[in-house]
Amino acid sequence: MSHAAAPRPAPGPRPAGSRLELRGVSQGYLRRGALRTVLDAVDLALEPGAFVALTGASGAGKTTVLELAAGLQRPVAGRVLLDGADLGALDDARLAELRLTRVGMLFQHHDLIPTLNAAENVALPLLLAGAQRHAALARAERLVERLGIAGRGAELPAELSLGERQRLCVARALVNEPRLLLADEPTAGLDSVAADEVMRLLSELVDEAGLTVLLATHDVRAAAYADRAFRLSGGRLEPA
Amino acid sequence: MSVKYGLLGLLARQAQHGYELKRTFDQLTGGFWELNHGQIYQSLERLAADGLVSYTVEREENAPERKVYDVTERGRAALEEWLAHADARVRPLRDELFIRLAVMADRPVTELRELLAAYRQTYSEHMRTLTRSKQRLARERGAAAAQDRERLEVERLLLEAAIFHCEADLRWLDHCEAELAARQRREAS
Ligand SMILES: Nc1ncnc2c1ncn2[C@@H]1O[C@H](COP(=O)(O)OP(=O)(O)OP(=O)(O)O)[C@@H](O)[C@H]1O
Ligand SMILES: [Mg+2]
Repeated sequence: MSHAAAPRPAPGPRPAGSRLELRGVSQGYLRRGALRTVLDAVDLALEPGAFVALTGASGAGKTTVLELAAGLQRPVAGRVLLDGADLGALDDARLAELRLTRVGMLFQHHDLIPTLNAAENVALPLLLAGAQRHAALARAERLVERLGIAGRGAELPAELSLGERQRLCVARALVNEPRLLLADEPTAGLDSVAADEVMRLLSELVDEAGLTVLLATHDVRAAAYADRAFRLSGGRLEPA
Repeated sequence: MSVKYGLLGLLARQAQHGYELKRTFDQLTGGFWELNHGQIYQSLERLAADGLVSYTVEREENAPERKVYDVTERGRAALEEWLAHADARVRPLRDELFIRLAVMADRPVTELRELLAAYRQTYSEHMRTLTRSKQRLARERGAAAAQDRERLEVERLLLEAAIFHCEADLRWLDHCEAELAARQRREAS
């Protein structure tokens, strides 16, 4: 499958963003024998290139929506469509391939590999997709140059500040040139200046690539970088 | 009060006529402090009457004559005096929403939540507008000549003030919403 994921030679033509659709999606968990509903027939449609923020109180289901969109969870009801393809119809192997080639993910708890240096961490998705080590690292280095930590690609995550690590996560999520970016609380734990740096970087890179973004955040400053926002409350989605 | 010193400060940098002064004032405050021409001319008249500014009349062919204002020695001293004595006071927190909430205190929770939701949408939209201005300003600053950078820098800080205020309002709305939702759940069970 490596040929399908070979890194595109920069700066060639950019892929457009994906269309993401949630149709009547419900999700819940069993708790003490009873089903606890987290999402209640949620409809959400992101046109290609849309930048949408998802807000809501802690526990409202923001991460749940992102994991559903990535095919990391399957809904108890409803359908998740990525470019028209029903994720529910795909097996785990196809979903994994889809995530590697088309979806960039930035998790709530950053998960950089502590023993890999900054550039290697950024290059990891390319390497997993079968890219040549040399080309992957070269591309990662170019991205690292844009993170405001130029020349520090050889440092380990532990040697970087939280804000710098978050920016690395942005770069890693985008290194495969995904068509959909799912970002979960990318500014968590950062002060307003560091948070702005992360959001500025994210929106710059996203604009250049024209990709579709779903950003889950309770940070109202971060949410304002999106073109539209929705709020999860009581399992329902309302405009915000 | 602060307008008076704002104008003095601008004139201390460079003599200008009223129209120019309005433009530089608007630029300086990033559009958050709107002054109309009437206010500018009124302030200038008062400053002139107090001997803090003086003016020369400029005549150009085919154009109405106009007054070019400059700061006087007394004006400069008054400005320095004002700059040296910052009068830090807590801003009054006044908003129609607070009155509405107070008046509606005993109404059903759903009504309160609807009121807050409407405000939240307005504030979120405003926050997006401010954020877009901030991004535009960052791009302008990147491309700006050195002498314009400082002005853009200050403009950005003022924009940040608006953003932080809006953030505070939104966070307060979120907080109210969470508390009211909890109250609604308690009442339902
Ligand atoms: N694997 C799981 N098993 C049981 N309950 C879960 C599981 N994952 C999430 N939940 C529940 O689903 C609800 C939504 O969780 P989710 O992580 O989506 O919220 P969130 O909006 O991302 O919150 P936060 O802002 O704290 O990250 C929570 O009540 C959580 O306890
Ligand atoms: Mg979460």
